[in-house]
Amino acid sequence: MGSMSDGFSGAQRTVIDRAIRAAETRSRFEFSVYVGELAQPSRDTARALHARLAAPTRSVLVAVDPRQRELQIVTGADVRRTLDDKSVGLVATSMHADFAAGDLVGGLSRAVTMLAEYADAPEVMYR
Amino acid sequence: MSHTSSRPARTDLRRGLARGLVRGGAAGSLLALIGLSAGAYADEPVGWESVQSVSGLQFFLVLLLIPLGLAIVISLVVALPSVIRGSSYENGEIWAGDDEWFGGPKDGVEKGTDPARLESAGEQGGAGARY
Repeated sequence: MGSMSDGFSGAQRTVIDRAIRAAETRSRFEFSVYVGELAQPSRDTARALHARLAAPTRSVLVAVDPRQRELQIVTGADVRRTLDDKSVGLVATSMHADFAAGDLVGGLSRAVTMLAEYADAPEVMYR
Repeated sequence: MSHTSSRPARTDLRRGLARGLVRGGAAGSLLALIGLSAGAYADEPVGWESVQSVSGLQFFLVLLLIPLGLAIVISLVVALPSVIRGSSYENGEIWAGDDEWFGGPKDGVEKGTDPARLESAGEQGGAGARY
């Protein structure tokens, strides 16, 4: 087991903030990252947190509980049109690998970037 | 033939003499300079205060203890804020920080969940995992 530590440093917050800003610029959706306790069932807690955002239908929430080693990604109804659950599952798998290696900040920033890339996929106008 | 053979010998003699004079002049000038600088010593002016002798303890205090004390105080002032704040999260450590919400509402997680907002959020999607 590693040693205990307090919250993120200023530099770590900057890394996450920059990833969020870049993702929002790229995808035109709102991104939010929550790191903290997720009461059980964690999925419902994450959905409730997502519902509290300013524009939930156009928002993506990445929630991580480092103590319970659990992560949840919640997407709004508008976001789901371009960012399907399968793509979100792939990002969750990537985060799983980063977090298991102990890279919390890197995992979060990469996940936000990947979600924006998937969400930025061009919408098919004609079939 | 005899004229042509005696001229170079006379020229060499002159050159050697000139070199000797230059070298001697340079050495003389150097010695004169050293002599002049040696003569710069002077007695302490009468109006000046006589310098008190510094003890070993005073020397130790002024040149070692005071600078060392200042260095310790400055180091403490610089390091104190981070010591009070505590160490920040490092990769691989156990998270012990407060809940943080980037891009979340201003009142954070304190406000709790609102079923009405959950209803209005529409159909949510996504995925989850344990690691």
